[in-house]
Amino acid sequence: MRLKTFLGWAVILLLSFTPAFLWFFLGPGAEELTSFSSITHSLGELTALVGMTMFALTFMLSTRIRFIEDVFDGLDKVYVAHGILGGTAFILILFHPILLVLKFIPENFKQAAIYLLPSSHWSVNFGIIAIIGFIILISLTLFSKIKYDDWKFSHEFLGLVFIFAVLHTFLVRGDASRDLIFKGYYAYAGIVSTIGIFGFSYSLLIKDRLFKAAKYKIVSIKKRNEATYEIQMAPEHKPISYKSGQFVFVRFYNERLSEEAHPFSIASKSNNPVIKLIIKRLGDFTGELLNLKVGDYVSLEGPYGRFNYEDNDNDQVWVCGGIGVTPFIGMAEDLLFNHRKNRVDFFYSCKESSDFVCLDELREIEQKTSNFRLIPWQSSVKGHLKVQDIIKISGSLKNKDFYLCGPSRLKKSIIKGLISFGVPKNRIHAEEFEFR
Amino acid sequence: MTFEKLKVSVGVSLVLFIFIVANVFAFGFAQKKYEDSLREQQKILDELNAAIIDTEKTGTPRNATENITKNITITPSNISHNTSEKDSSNTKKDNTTKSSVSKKNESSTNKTIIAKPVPKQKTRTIHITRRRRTHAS
Repeated sequence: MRLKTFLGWAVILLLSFTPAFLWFFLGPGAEELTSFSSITHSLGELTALVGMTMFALTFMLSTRIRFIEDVFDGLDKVYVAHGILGGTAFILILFHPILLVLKFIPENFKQAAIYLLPSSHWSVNFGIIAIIGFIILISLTLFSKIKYDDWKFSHEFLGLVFIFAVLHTFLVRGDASRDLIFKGYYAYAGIVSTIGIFGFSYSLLIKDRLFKAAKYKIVSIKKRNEATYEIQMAPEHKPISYKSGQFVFVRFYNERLSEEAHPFSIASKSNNPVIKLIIKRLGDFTGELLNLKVGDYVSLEGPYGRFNYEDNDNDQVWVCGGIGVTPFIGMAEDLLFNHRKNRVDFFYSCKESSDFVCLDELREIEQKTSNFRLIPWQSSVKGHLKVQDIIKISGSLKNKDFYLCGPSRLKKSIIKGLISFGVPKNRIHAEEFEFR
Repeated sequence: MTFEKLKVSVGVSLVLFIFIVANVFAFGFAQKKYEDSLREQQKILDELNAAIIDTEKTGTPRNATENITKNITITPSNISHNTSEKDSSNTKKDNTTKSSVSKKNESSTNKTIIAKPVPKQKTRTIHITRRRRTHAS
C-alpha cells in the first residue's frame, strides 16, 4: 500500500473508531463490561455507532471530490475503500440488533422476538426499515446480476436508508441517550450524519448542477476486432486536461442508450484534444454502444486516477491483460514525445492472437523509440504470464517499477510473484478498474 | 481485502443474521404458544375453583365451562379436598389427566383452594374424585 492510500485509510479508520474510543477511554468503558448482558448490550451499541460512521463516510467516498482522490491516490482506490467500508458498515449494522437481543436469551425468547418486530415506537421502526432496506440494497449490489443502470438506480436508495438510520440513531432511547459521553457522541454523530447526507445529496443533486461536464462529439468509430471498437471524440468547446493512463466518466447522448455515466480509460496521449476510448463488449451497456454513431454528443467528467508512469525515473515493466491495454496505449504514445531515458518493457497478454488490439500502433512506437520494447504474450500458446517469464525477458527485478492493469486473476498472480521475489509494494502500481 | 473476500464476509454475516433472527422468532413463537397454553390452563383452573366453591356452597351442580372451551360439570361428588401439596399427587391420575386441585391449610371456616397449573395439558378431560382427608396440617 502506498503512503497516500495508507493516509486515506488512516483518516477513515480514525473517524470510524472515534465513537469507540470515546466510549472506551472517556465513557464507562471496561467498567461497564461486568455481565454477559452488559457486554452484549455495549457491543450492540458500539457496532451501531461505528457502523453508522462508516456508512456516512461511504457517501463521501462516492462524491468523486478531488481532495478525497488526492488523499487516496486515485479514484479507483477511493472506490475500493468505498466498497470495503460499505461492506464493513453493513456487517456491523447487522450485528447491532443481534447483540442487543442477546441480553434476553436464553431466558426470554419471546421478549427477544418482540424486540425485533415493529412496534408503536417509530424510533425503533425507523431502525428496522433501515436495516431491511440495507439488506435488500447490499444484496442487490453484491449478489445479483442486474443491469448496471438498474443497479445504479437501486444504489441511490441507500441515501434513503441512511436517513432512516439517522432518525433511528437520534430518536431511539437507549443507553446512548442517557450516558453523558454519548450525549457528546450525539454531537459527533450529528457531524457524521451531516457528512453522509451531504455526500449523497451532492452526488445525486448538486454535482451535475454545480460542475458542467465537458461536451465532446464523436468524430470516428472504428471496429478493432470482433468485440472491441475505438471511439474518438473531439471537444465542442474547451478540451479537458489529462494525463495518459487516467480515466473519465462518459455520458453518451443517444436515444438508444441510457444517459448514465460510465467510466472508461483514456487511450490517447496526454492532453491530446481528441480523446480516444477503446471499448470491449463485456456487459449490457458496452454491448449497446454499437448503437453509437458519428456526430453523437458525449459529456466527459474527469479526468480521474493516478495511474501514471511519470512519477519515477526507474526502468519500468508494464503488464496488461486483454482490454487492460487501454491506459498503456496513451502512455506508450507519450514516450514518442517526452524522450525519457528509462527503459520500458511492455508485456501485453491476451488469450488468442485475435484478441490483441492496437498492436500495429504499439509496434510503430517500438520502432521509433529505443527505450520501449513490446512483448506480446499469447497465453493460449505460451501459458499464463508469470513473474519468471518477466525475469527471463527483462532481467533482474531490482530498481524497477511495475505497472499493472487487467483482469484481477492476472494482476493478483503477478503481484504475488513480484512480492515473493522481494519487490517492495511501493514499486507496484496497479489500476483497480474492476471497482468502477 | 479483495472484492471476493468482501462478498464472502458480507454473505456469511447475512446468513448468520438470518439464521439468528429466524431462531429468535421460532423460539419466541414457541415460548408464546407455551405461555398461552399455561394461561388457558390457569383460566380453566380458576373456573374450576370458582365452580367448586360455588358447588360446595349451594350443593347443586354447576357448569364450569362458561368462559372456557372445556365441558366440565362440577357436582358435589367429584370434588376432592387435599390437605397438602404432597397429597395432591395422590389425586387419581391417568394419562389423560394433567390437572389437580389442592387445598392448603384447610379449616372448617377458612377454605383456601389453590389451583396448581401443571405445564402441559394434553387432554381436555378432567377427573376429580372425592377423597378423605388423611391428615390435617
